[in-house]
Amino acid sequence: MGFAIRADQDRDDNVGDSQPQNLVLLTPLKSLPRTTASAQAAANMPLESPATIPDKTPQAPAEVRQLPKAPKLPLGLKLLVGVQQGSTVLTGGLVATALVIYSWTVYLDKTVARSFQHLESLKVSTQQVTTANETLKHSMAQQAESPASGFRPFEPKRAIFVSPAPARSLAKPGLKPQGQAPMPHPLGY
Amino acid sequence: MVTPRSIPSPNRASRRSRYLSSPRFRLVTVWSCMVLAMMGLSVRLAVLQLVAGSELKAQAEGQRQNLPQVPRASRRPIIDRQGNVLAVDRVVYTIYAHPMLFNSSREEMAETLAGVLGQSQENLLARFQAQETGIQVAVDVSEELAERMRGMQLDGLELLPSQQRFYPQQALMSQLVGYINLEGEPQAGLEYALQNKLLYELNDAPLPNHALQQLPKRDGIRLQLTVDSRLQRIVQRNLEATVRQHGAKRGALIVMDSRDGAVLSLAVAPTYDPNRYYEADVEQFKNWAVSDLYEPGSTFKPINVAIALEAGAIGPDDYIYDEGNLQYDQWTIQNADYKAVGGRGSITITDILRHSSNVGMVHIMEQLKRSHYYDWLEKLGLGQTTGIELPAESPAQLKSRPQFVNNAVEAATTSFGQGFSLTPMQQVQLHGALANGGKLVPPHVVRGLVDQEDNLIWQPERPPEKTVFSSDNTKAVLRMMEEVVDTGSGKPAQVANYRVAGKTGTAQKANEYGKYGDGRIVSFVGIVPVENPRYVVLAVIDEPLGEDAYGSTVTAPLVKSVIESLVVMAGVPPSPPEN
Repeated sequence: MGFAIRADQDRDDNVGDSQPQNLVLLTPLKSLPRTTASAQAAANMPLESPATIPDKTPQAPAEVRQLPKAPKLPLGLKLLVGVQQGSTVLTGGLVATALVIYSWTVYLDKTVARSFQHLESLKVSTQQVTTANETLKHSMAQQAESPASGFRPFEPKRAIFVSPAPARSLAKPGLKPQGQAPMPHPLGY
Repeated sequence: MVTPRSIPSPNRASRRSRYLSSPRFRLVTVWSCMVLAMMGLSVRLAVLQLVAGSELKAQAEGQRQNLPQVPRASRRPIIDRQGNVLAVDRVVYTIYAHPMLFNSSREEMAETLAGVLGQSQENLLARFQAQETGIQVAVDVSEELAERMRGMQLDGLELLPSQQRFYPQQALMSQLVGYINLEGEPQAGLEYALQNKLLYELNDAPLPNHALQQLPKRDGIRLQLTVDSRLQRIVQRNLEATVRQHGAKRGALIVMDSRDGAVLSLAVAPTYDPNRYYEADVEQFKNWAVSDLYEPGSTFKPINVAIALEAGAIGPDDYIYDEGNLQYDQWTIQNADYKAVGGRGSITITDILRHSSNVGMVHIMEQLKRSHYYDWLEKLGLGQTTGIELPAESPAQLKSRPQFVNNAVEAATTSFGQGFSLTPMQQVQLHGALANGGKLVPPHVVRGLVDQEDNLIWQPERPPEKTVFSSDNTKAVLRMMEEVVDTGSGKPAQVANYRVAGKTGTAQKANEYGKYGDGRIVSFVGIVPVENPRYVVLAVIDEPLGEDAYGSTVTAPLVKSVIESLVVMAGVPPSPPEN
């Protein structure tokens, strides 16, 4: 029985070293004893595939036999696997981006609608203010027109016409600043 | 016993059942079903998109059009030269009450509403008790009041917004701007003539409920006029006072900048308030300054003198014999003052204008061949419209060429401004050519569509300018017209320290039988300042009452009062003293 344990341990080591593919080829993973504590229990149980255990004699030192290597995948297949993995990543990325963009458009739509309503209400207020302003102007003008208001229409004899001064040549800027400007007062510290 | 024939039968059946139950067969079946379904969907999609697409789109549009959208179309504001608003949209509310939905008693509601709306409480209560729903309580309620009512949180009240056109200047510009009726359709003035330019474009509005709705795109573009509402106010008031004072039927006064044809003021009396257009007389909806023809009378004489000078028929310093009275077959042509003064003898052209001598004018125009004279009248645009933006403009009426050329009396009457008719606006255009050195500029009241930064983005198409007189001749005519104001019939139009050129006109009006009756139409045209002529002011008063109603007594003082305000507003300095 001890050998069996050993063989198991041995195989355990091999499992640790080997590729996952090899592991699959040897035996289903669930049947492998994981810890030494459970090794005893495992020893009591018959192995599911005893045929896979190499025929080791108790006397002979453990002969390490090369585990059958996974058959090498053809290049085309490898390429396809690569493409599949790459496209999976790409798809994931695209789906995530699409979700982000979609939510962004929804958010944007809502924001635009809100701002648009705000703008519309502002325009309505502008109309109101304009209307009120013009109505006020008109009524003021009407009041001013009544003779009692004391306003009089434009007449040239009550107007002052100032003819525009002849255009002056542009003042020439000082050629140089006169050095350090004299300080009128000492600077306080 | 088993018959030999029966042996292969179970064999074949089992082979078929094995074939049917093989996973490969099931896989292929499911696969082909899915492929067929996908192909079917693709074909349907293609049919919908490519074949029936446009049809379906039209159908959808049709359904959308049926939905009630904006209650009324909204329009761009109209502003004057300075940016004062002449017409603007505003939102007004119609209030409906549904008593069955009231959350307080009808008495309380009637009391509250009567307070807010300024209506009688009993009346409201009676209506609330008569009907359960759909009572129209108030119309044209302002936004502020509607806001207040919303704040009161009353149930059973419905506030329906709608667009309404509001004219803050009331009656001031009605004949120019026109009005929009209660159905929201433009009916007169620029509102009607430029309705396509005034309407906002509709575009899809981003609304939160994804309802397809088109709202006007309020882009801040406004229609700007060339009219100055300050001047218009003064002109309108003075014109109305004159019309009232002389019991006249109507009057019109136009102020135009002759350099570019911009109309600074166009006042018509009587006028109406476009906010309450339904109270106005239908006759007032048209702008008679552009839609009605009148015989210009003596105000056309300076134009005739300019034609004669330009055609080389006379020289500015020529003398003409004025016998005071002429006979053309059964027609007698005589000066207005023939009975008082008689023939004036040999006088200068300036004197002919100063005394408004009809006979003198006939002799001047006789120097020109009648067909040539007719060519000139056509060249000045008589028989055509001026092309101003206002609707319903009438083309000037001129006799037909054979009638004009073959009858001496036609050319004779035309020489003193009778026997043909034009609109006051065209008369202003012709005098504009005298003021600006001989160019016939298209008069216009619209500057164009301007954006918020005051950049012009659209301008109405205008007929091209046309040079008809040389500036030497127009200057000569203006000097003669200045004499009219200084020492002749235009004296009442004198403005202290300003050189004003002018001409009075008093024409008999043809009655409905085609004969000249008692009615007259008086006018005065002034051009200011003579040393740098720019502004043309024409006043026309139709059927003033009283025996002494002449161009010199009715319209000349009116033009004077307008010129006084105009020179101050336009910053025209007093004329330098003549040497």
